Amino acid sequence: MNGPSDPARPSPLDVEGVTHRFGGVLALDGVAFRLDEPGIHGLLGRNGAGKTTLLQILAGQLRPGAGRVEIFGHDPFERAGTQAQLCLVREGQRYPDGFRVHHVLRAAALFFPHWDAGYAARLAADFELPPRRAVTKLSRGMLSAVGVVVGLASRAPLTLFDEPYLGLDAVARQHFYDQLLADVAAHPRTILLSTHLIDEIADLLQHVVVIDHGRVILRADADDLRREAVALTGPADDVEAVVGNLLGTGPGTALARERLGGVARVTVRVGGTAPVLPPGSAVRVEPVSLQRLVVHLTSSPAAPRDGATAAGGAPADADAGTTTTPQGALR
Amino acid sequence: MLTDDGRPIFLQIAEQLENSIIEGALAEGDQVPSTNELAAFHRINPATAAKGVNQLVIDGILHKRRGIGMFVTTGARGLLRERRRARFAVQFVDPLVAEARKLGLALDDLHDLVDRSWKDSR
Amino acid sequence: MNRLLAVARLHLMVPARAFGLPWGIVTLAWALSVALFASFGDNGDVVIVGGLFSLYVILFLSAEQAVTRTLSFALALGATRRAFYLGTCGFLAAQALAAGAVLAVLRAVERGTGGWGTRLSFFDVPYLVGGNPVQAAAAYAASLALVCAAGLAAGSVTRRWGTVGTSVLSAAAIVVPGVAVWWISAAGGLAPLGNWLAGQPAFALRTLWPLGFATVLAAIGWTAVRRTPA
Repeated sequence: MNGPSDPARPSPLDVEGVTHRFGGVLALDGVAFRLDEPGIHGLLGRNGAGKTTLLQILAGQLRPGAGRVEIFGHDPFERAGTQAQLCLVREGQRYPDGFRVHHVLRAAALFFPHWDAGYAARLAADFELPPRRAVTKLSRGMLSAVGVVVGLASRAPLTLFDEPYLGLDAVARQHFYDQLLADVAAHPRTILLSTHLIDEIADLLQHVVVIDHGRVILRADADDLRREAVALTGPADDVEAVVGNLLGTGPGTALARERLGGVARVTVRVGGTAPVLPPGSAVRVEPVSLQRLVVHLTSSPAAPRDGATAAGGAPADADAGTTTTPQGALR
Repeated sequence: MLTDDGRPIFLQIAEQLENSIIEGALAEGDQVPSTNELAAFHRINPATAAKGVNQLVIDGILHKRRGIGMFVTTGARGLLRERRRARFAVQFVDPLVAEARKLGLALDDLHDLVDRSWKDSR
Repeated sequence: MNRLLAVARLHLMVPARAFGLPWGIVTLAWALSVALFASFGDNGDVVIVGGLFSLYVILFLSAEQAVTRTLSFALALGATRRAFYLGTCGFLAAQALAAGAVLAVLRAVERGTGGWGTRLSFFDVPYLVGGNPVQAAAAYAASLALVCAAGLAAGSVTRRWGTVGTSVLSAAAIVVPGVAVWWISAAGGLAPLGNWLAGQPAFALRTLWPLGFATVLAAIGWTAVRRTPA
């Protein structure tokens, strides 16, 4: 993932040191990552983490305050050749006066060199979009569907979706995921999808970039991340003993501690190494899904810039029922 | 189906294919589903499906016929059974014994239970 | 070239808006004017009606909307600001030329029919146009181009600097000429200026000057658009 890139075949996406401010607010801080392979990749993070700003910069619609952005080897800002290889689908897109659904699709055909009109028409039918309906009269779900149709039918070598499913119900979302999988399999290209509905698409994602308070806090293959953290549940003392061992011997960090009566559950980041339990131990090891992992990693307030981890919240009170204490877990 | 047990998906894919081979659903010389078919069926990323299939190629269970697809290698079934047998004790017997001891069962009780289960499973 | 054509086709995507609206309104205004004049009977005088003004207003507004609404859509489709602005200018210029030709023809018909039989001067606006149909077409086209360029500039400034920018621009449009006139008159140059202007050939006044101003306004619009956020 971080090997030298071949100038003859540039990466679809390669950014470094991307920093951007809006007024006094630091929206992005030294963002760096690369996508080398075609496939479906995820940009994960909370609302306000900087995902939308980053995607706009990647699409060349915004110039970053600092940093290097290379899409297929070139800076995308105002560069027609690179823009033709890109498609950004975002919420809240405004359309010209008087446009109907079919006008949007015909306009897209004018600008996207790889546009597939037949595919667009089939998708529009699948999502039940009335072609002659004025865009201003579309429901929220249909507006999202228009964006999805344009994004998929553009067949752009790098397609960026900014939370494209807002407004789509569960059925339409599943339909989008299925179409995405099928079409990327048939026409390989690079897709970067930003989302906070992680559970739904975790299995679809190949590579994952997690962004929090404008910084990249995690970059890994989604499949590897299934073993990134575990939850240890059992009698409180036994669990603490195991956790103590893990933290002492390896690079693990405790992400969360929960207590209910005499039972404790501690979520520990183990980086793929399965914890070894003493035989007959009463402690159970459970996997931690990608969504829960990202929630644990992004629920603390931003760490100070010198890299020190943030302090945890109130200490657990064993007699007061369940208390969750998120602890800073930035590596 | 895929489980949420934290094991990498590609390993689960590999295991499901192994099970099909052991059970005889996929015979030696048969073609296995393509990575795109597997990905669409399980709703996972094709790269992950490919990783699972490649794992089996590395293990000598599948081989690639260029331009056609992936096929089950001759002797794959025997190979898999042997490997599973080697893991059987650690994977199934040890936990069985541990649980039996935890519940306070005697060795004879355990024998009886195994006998009964064996007969019932015919 | 393809990219510029794509922008032009984008503007033409909804023909009802591109053609129907402006010409529909002009036709309506003209029909009303003719009906009105017919009902007056014989006036003895030929009175000019400012009905053509509606066309100018509509074209100003659509040029403005081209930037405030269509630009963001074009950017989302991957057009560059450069391609969009050039393509839009080209489209508006072509539109002005075509409209100029049509208006010149209509003016010729109007003059030939004695003001549509009612002595109405709808298309034949004396200070705006004059001379033979070709000169008239050029004059129409130039004035329409000026109005479109003003719309582009207004839309671009609004997009980039919001209402503050537009207010500043409007104020400048009044203050700058006002100051210039005051300054020239203080230097005693108003009369010579007036004489010089009166001595300018009609072609220069009706066609070249508007085109000059149009170019300046288009340039102002570009400085605003080139760094505008998507």
